[in-house]
Amino acid sequence: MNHLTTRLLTLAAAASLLAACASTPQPHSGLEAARQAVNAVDADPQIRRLAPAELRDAQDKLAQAERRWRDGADSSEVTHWSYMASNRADVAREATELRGMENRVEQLRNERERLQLQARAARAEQEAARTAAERARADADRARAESERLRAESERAMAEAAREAEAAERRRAEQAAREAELQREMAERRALELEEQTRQMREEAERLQRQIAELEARPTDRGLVLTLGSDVLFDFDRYELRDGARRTVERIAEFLNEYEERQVLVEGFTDSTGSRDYNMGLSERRANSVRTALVERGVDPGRIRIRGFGPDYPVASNDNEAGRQLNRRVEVIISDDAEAVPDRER
Amino acid sequence: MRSTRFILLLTAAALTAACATRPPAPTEELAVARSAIGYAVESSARDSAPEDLAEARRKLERAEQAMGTRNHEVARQLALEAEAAARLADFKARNASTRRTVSELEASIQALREELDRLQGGSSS
Repeated sequence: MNHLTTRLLTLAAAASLLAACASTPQPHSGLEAARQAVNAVDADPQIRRLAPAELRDAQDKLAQAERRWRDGADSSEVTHWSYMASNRADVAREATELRGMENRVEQLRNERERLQLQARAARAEQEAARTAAERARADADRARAESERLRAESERAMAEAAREAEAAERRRAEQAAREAELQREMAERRALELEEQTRQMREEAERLQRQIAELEARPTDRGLVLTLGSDVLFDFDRYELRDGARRTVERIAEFLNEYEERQVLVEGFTDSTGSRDYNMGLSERRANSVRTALVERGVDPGRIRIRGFGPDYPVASNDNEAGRQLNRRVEVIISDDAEAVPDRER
Repeated sequence: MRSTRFILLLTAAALTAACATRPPAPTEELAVARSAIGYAVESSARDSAPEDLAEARRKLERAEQAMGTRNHEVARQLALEAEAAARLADFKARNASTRRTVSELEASIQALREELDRLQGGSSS
């Protein structure tokens, strides 16, 4: 509005000037540059928004320049105002840039603050995570060490157990070996004993055999039978043993003392000469003499029975002297075992 | 005091009578121009806007010369132009400094973003 009136006034003034001196103002290069600068600044919406005061200032200065130029003022004055207008346009541009940048600085500061907070939080988080990881690693290390320790302990225990088992096995083996040795020794001893027994039995058998042979004994169902001729043992019609019979009786006593379980039956016989009763008595007395002699040589009297048979059971004919001599006899029967010698069957 | 002012008025009237078109001396404009140049220097305009600063100084010098020849109108114009050049130099210097601030901020933001990527990338994998 103000511009319009100014412009009208300017036009009126110009018209009067034209009328006065009829001259057109010469084009002014400084003013031309100022117009372009101010127009360019005015066309920039950014500048209009951020530097309105500077823009208005630039436009005012340009208007001053225009008026002086139209008024035909001194060229230096138009130059001065054109310079000022151009300067204000430049200032408006610079101010716009500055304000834009100041806004940007403000935004960037906020952004930086936000990021610093985030970074601080993230660093704290990472630090916490790192601490947790270190703690976890330490825990794991500790657990590993513990596991290692337990494993070593277990191995030690297993080795110990194996050693003990081995020792027990060794002890068991040693025990078994000892027992085996013992059994072997026992078996050997037993074998030796058996051998000894065998040997003794063989010797005994051999001795018995020898003795039996010496006594001219003959084995029968009732036992060993020794037949002793009465003529060797006794004088005629007597019953005391002759000295020459002692050797025979001693042999028999030795044998009986050796085989103490064996029982003895002494039987006396005569020939058929003389009375039967007398002969019965004589034969019995003679059997008793043998018994007495055996007892005197250490044989238990309980083992010895006697019988007198007189002329009974002749072993040869009584019709001749040779036969009668065979019939005059004493038979010593020795049992094969501890049983008593059975009597003759009638 | 009163008499002094009276004398001054009289002198001014006499001067006006002597040369009717002579404007007053632009001391204030010169002072403003000098202080504007000082501000621009403080804003590191020597580095960021050396040509504008040099122009301001040239104009101030010429203004002072014009003052010396009592050419007050030319001195006033040159002082105003010196101040304008100094203001432009000051803006340019502040812009340069602000641009540095912006790039520093952008760099530190970039560094923070990278650190965050690393931190979050590191923690998430």
